This record gives sequence, C-alpha cells and structure tokens, in this order.
Amino acid sequence: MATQPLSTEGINPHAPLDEEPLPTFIDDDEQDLPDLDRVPAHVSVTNLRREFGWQDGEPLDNGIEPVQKGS
Amino acid sequence: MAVTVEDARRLTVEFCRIYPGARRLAFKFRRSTVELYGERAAAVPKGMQGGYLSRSREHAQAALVGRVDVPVDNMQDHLDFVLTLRHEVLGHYGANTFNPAEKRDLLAGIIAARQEPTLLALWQRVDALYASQSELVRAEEVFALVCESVTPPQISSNVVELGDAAFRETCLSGARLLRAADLAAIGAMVAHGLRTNAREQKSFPPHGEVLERLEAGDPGDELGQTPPHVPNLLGPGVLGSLYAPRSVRGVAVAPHDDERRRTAGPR
Repeated sequence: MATQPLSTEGINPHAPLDEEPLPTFIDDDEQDLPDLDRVPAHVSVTNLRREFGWQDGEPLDNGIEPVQKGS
Repeated sequence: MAVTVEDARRLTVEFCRIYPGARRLAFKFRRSTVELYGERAAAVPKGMQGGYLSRSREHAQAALVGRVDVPVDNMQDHLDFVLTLRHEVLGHYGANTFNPAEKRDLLAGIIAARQEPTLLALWQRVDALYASQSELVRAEEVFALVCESVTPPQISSNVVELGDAAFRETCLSGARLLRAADLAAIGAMVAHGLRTNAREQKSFPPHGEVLERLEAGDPGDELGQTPPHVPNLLGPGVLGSLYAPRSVRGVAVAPHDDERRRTAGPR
C-alpha cells in the first residue's frame, strides 16, 4: 500500500530537518511564553472546507455558498 | 484520518519551510482544549480548531512574537490542520503585519463590503459564529477564512503588485467595494511577505478583552495603537467611530443590525 504523503502544500516533508531552523514548539508548559499563559481572546471554530465545502486551491472569485447541513 | 501531535509538528515544519516568517511564532499543540488550557478550557469552545495569541508591543523585539494553539483531536485530517495554520498564521498573524493604520483600513474595507455578493455568505457565517464579538474581530475572521484559500502556487511573482493594487483600490481609496478575490489577493501578498521574510509584525494588539475596551471608546488599541489624538466622535458605548461603515462609490453602507443593536443602548 502506498504511503499517503503527509504534505498538503506540495513540499517534500521528508527533507532532513537539521538543515534549517525548526519552529519553536511548546512541549512543556513550563517553557511557555510567560505572558501568553492564557487562552486566545477569540478562536477559529470552522474552516472554508467544513463550512462551505470549499476545495483546496479553488478560487473565491465567485464567492462561496454554505454547505447545507442536516437536511 | 486522525492528526497526531507529531503529525502537526511535521506539517508545521513543512509550513515554515514555505513561510519562514512563521518561525517568529511559537506553536503549541495538544490533543484537546483541556490539555492546552487546563481548567481555563471552559473559556473556549470544545470544538475550537485553532487560536492565535499576539504578544504585546513590549515584546516586539523578542524572538517570538506570538503563539498558535491547536487541539489536534479537533482536526479531521491533515488538510484541516493546514487550513488552520493558514487561518492563524497567514490570517491573524498576517493581519498584524500591517501597521495599525493599514490594518484599520483593511478591516474597514472588509466591513464596508459585508453585503458584497462574493463575501456575503462568509460574512453571514462569521456573524452567526462570532455574534458576541465586535465588527473588527469579525472582519479579521473574514480575512482569516479567506486566507485559508491561499496556496503556495498562488504566490506568484506579481502577487505583491496584485495584492497592493487590490488593497489600495478597495481599502485605501474606497474606489470600489472589496470582493473575495481582492481579499485573496491581499492574503497572497501577505503570504508572499511571510515567505520572503519581507513582512513582520507591525501591530501589537494588547491583551485583555477587546470588546469592552472598544465600547469604552478606545478603538485604537485593538489594532495595536493608542490614538490619544483621535476622539471617539460617537461617545462612550459606541463601537469604534474610526470604523464606521464608509461610503463606497458614493453609496453609504448601512450599519449592520448587530452594530445598531449594540450602539442603541447599554449592554
């Protein structure tokens, strides 16, 4: 069975990681940024695909219509 | 396909290869909102997909200027996660790469276009999902949702010119109403700036409850500025006079019903 690529952005995700600076991941709460020890004031709760059935790469030129849920 | 914390990390490494400017943010991934926030998890929806926190201006020179949080159990699959990164990084962090005056103009342009046909459905969903939030917060959500549609192949060589032209025509001059495609072009311009490290954070929204501050007549703070010389012409209890819907092509855009309700009396 073919391995499903992890990538969704068209870049090889298996490139060696030690050739570039890595993003900072907060693995230990003790290492968190102290002034950010809080919840976001507002959060995302949906996305274009879930809400509008939008397909990745699809242009928005003509607008989008909500997905009809629970008919 | 479930998304694990390890998947999230690898996808974020990949995302940061494309957008090195995203390395100015910290990333906090846990399985659930409870693992992210402990007993404070009640303050966010259980179904939360992502959150972005900006550090304040005093940390402007710090290595890390904000944090993106994702409870990965709420992701349907890898694409869901990538869309969340685009939303939080290109959208919310990206909005803060405009200076406060530009960000104000961007959000005002989005607000003025709330009835524009290609943005109407987005605005209606944002109004429903963020009913308790200010117009400015909602406008930023519209921008962040549109930024989910920005893919690397769309970031072409002339994307800065296209995005800048769209921004100037719709948000600065108000020559025409913003359309979804304009907003996507502006999002692509921001993405290009994060890809080339040409953009960095210029607006530093402070901590705290934005809506209360706005209703106290201090609209500038949400955009990371405090404009002591700009009076709230409508008085206390009125959301940002700076952001009153503008006239576009000579046609006045009516205030949104929710804004009318908010401005009609005490909360």
